[in-house]
Amino acid sequence: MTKNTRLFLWLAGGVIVLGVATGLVVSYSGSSALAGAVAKEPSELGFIPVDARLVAFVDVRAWMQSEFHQAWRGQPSGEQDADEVLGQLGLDLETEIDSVLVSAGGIPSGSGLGELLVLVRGRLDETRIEQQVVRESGGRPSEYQGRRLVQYIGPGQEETAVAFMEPGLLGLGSIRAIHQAIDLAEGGEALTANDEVMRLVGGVIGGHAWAVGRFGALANQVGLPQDTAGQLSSLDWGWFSASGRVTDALDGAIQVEAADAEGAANLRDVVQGFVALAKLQAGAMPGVTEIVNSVQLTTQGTAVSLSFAVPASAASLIGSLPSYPTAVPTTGSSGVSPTHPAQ
Amino acid sequence: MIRRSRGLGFAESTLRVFGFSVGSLLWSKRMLFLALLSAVPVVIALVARVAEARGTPLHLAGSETLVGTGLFGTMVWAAYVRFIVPVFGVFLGTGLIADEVEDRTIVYLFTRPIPRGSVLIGKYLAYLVCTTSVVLPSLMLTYFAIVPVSAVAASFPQLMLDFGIVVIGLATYGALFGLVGVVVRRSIVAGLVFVFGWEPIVLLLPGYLKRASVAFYVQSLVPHAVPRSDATFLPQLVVREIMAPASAVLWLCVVLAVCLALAVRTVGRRDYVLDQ
Repeated sequence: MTKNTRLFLWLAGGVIVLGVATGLVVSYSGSSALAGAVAKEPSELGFIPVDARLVAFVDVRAWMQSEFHQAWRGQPSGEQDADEVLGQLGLDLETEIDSVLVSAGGIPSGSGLGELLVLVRGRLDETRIEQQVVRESGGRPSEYQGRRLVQYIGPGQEETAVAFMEPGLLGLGSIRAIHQAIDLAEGGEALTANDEVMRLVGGVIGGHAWAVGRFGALANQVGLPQDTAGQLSSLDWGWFSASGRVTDALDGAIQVEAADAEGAANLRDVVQGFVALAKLQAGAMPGVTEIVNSVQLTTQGTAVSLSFAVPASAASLIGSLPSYPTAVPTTGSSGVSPTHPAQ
Repeated sequence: MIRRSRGLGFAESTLRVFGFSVGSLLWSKRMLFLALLSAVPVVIALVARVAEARGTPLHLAGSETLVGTGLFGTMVWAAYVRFIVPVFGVFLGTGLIADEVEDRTIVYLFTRPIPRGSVLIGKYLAYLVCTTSVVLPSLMLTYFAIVPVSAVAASFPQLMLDFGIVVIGLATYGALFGLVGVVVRRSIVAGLVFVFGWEPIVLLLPGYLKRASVAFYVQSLVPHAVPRSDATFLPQLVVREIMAPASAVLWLCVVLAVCLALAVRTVGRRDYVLDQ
């Protein structure tokens, strides 16, 4: 065997060994650990006000590429709502968007979470989007701090504005929220200066989707049963963080920090009750039983953590689950449930 | 090397033949052509990745977007299992003995004091090493070019299974066409007719005739690799009938062993009279 032959065989073997080793490391440590190790906080946080009450991020490309999404397709979900909002801008959620970051609370709206700011990153054509808003939604171009923005009436009949914060980053929200984001871009105290929030963001940033916010504010916004909402709203809440990774399954984790150990114990009891109820209702639905059985609830000090996994085989069941009869606010700027007064 | 191997046993003779056959097979023009062929999926994978990054991902006609593990599964099925593996088997397997006959060098091997069968087995092992050292890195590079890091943990065990499928496919096709190269005069033509004529046709036919192909058993191991959309991908429809993976592996091993045994027997008994 010549030297060149040996060299070729060593090289070929090296490629295989290196690939297998990489795959094993990623599989063993979990792709979330690897992604978390290399993930950086999104630069969009520089446009979010320091006193935001909720920040949520979705890696749209990872979601669209996942096997879970293939199984999820066609289910009733927020995707249709997002498609409607983005459709007004002439944007295709599946091919043009890389990520979406939503924040709320930078500007109080009198009730609810506060005014929303949506930052969309992707392969965006500024001219086409502006023309689309002007032509299809009757948008009116204007300027603020030397930046172009277009105002129009959004899907919820609210006065809405769009502006490009930087190339490939579109801001969408109320006029006040857009003005505030532009002000922060010119210099101001952004969310990155909030150490408490950034500590939580650092813990979830490896996820394909994550959220950090004031739990009390969020608990009022989601459609919880009235008794549960009543129990929750009586407690003094700190921050919550949630993150999820999506591959062939959806793996999620939520952590809530209560004000004290008693609050944490109460929350754990409420969630345990929820899980027990879900197990009873799951009955003969194998997919739902699988999800409920994957739920793990832990308490550490004042923090209550819950993790769960939804396999792709159960994705189609999610849209058919019964919902609780509560009034759920829309994605409007100041939506609030009539049954759940804002904190 | 052979000159000094007087009285060698079968195993040692096989290793000697293997030693010099690896180099000659690896640097042959035929292998260069096949190596370029196996680089095509890697290039396609890179193009798909760039296209997807630019927001124009690949689509099957009338089907869902092809990205990530879905695209990789399609490429394993269409590019590797149904094309590259059989083509490597045809072009290299048939030449194990036939090339020596064609080059009139077979007499130099068979006049050595080594079992004739060890020549075939040594060359077959060299074929296995050379083909796997070209095809498996290609498969590995294609995988990492297409599949995002986030999907590696979930899909990596499947890649290892794909490795096994490709290796057993190369081994079986190599043994089959090694036998063809020993008993048939125009063995490459016969091999191409088998791979691109006989196998696609019998896979389409109902009944047991498809069991007279290697593709049927290999295909039975890779149902995962075929795209899932039901009515749009023709190859999936035509090969829907498969057998249990364990049975498929067993049959592939039987085909491999029988073909190698027949090839060794034929080489041992046949008189090679070279044309003047």
